[in-house]
Amino acid sequence: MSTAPFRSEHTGLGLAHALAAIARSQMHSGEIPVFRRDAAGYLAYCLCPLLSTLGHDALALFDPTSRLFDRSIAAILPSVHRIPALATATMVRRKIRGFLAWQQQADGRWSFFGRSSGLSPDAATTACAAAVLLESLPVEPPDPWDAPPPAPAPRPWRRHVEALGRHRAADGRYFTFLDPHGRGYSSITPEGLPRGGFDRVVNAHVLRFLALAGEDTDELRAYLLAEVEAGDFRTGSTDHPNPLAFFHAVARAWRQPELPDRERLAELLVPRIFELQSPDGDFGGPLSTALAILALADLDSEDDRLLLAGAALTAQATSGATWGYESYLRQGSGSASFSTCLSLAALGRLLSIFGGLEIEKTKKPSSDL
Amino acid sequence: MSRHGGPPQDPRLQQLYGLLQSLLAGPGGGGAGSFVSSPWHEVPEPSSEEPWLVSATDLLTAWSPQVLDAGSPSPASLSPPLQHSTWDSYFEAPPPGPEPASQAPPVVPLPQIDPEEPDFEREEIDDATAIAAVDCLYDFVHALGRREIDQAMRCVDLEFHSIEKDEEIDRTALRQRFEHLLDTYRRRELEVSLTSVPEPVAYRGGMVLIPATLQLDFAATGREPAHSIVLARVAVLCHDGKAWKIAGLGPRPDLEHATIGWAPEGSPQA
Repeated sequence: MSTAPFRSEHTGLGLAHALAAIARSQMHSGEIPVFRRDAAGYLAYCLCPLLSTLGHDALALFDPTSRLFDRSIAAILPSVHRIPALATATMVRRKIRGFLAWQQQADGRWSFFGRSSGLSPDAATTACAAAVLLESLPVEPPDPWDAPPPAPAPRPWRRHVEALGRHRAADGRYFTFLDPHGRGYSSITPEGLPRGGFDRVVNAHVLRFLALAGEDTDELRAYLLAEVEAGDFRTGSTDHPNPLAFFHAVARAWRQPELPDRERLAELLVPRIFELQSPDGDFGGPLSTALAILALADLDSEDDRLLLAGAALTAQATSGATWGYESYLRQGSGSASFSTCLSLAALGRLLSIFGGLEIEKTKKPSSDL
Repeated sequence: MSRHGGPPQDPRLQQLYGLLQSLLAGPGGGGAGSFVSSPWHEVPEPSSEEPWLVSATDLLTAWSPQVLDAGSPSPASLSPPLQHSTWDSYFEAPPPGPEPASQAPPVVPLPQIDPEEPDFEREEIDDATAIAAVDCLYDFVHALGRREIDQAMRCVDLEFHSIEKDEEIDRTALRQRFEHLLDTYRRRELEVSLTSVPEPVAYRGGMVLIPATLQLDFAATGREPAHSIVLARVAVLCHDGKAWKIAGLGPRPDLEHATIGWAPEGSPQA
């Protein structure tokens, strides 16, 4: 597999190519396309707003309008491509926001397979999409004349918070789905029956949104910390067989709203994440490797094994500066575009932490990087 | 009955005339031939002041407004100069005028056209404006989906105005239409959505246009099938100084075929 786009002198060019590839693959509606692999191995398109929300978050590093924008990454981009590449990231993210606003239902929730799927709205998609729309809220400039402060502006995310509140159990955890009678459940069996309990990945997504919205999250944080301390990481959850999905979700939930106890979380999680790394730096696929890098970066890790992971990720890039399909969920949802979004973000975080050339220095001699 | 006292020509009037004669003559009065006109029965002659006037509501009066002002009931008795009246001049060839100075067509002054009037160029729209305008439209759609008409109408400008099939629709009429629609299907689950992602376009005067197709899906019940209403519209949004409001919902001629009526199914307008 060619890795030309991420040779040392071409790292920035490779990032620009990857951004362009994402923009090309984005659907007219703004959705990051998602496919499910059927029993015969064929990929079939399915509408899935949740993965678009993750793609939106991943590209924030390259979007100058985002509060997560990283100037050091922009400096890596070739000067001739810098402005078009950053504008592309902004445009892709804006279109995703338009798509998510379009998919919103009247009660302020979102469905995993989209508005008209028939599947009841779920807490994970709702929390992630609501967090995306938080970013599009207008920011009032400071009043230069020091006028008295205006009346408190309405908080449009209140509807989303209230809608999520319907999923809340008495102990502060959140059900993924609600049945017509308002009873919660975590997932659906292959036979179509509701399965009880809670999904910790979903709860991590809910924690992130509620914390960003300024809501009380003490009970939810306590639940997730207890899950981390329990140390059962064979899977992420019932619907997320990859444990890295949980690591990524929980690390992101703690870092973005800057929740307390992140050091404690890092102590518990970082060693467990590196346990999943193969000797060549890979975590099992491009998406898994990207999720691992993002989780470790969110936990402030600067371990050299991160560089090895970066080298493995660049080695998995195609000549078109994209990464291949790997499923994110048990049902098999994923796509090359989705993998590319997260891989791009992972490389961006590495470049921001270590500098543009460090990945090259630590790669294995046998690599053709 | 004839104005001049003679027998009427219409057979129905003749029948009525005979019946009246038999009644007035009485049992011993003889037949129809012994009928004697009494003063109250006599048909009044045309008055001396306006002998031509038969009735104030005579429709023919208007057809000879100037000929008949001579007082004669019969235009045939008019003298030739009087017959040639202004009325007749409408149907005659125009009198010969002076020869034109040249064969060049007459110069008709054209109205002055403002070269900037039909300005359909798209203006750039900034993100904040686009987001705020689209949010207003979504607030309207979601409020309809929750059947909260009051909340939906808060998104509609006080000066809302649309023309649909030559009918003016103001804010009240819009509200009544939606109320009627939601009331008709009050027992069904409702989902209101836009069929595609709205793409706002800046327009002059600070307005924003959003082509949008509104879809109202009423779920099936045990007895009734599902029903959908599709309204292809261009939403016109304006800023009233405080917030963006919907100022118009004009139909889209290019998508007229996609519009499936306002009226509930089964109604005469459906």
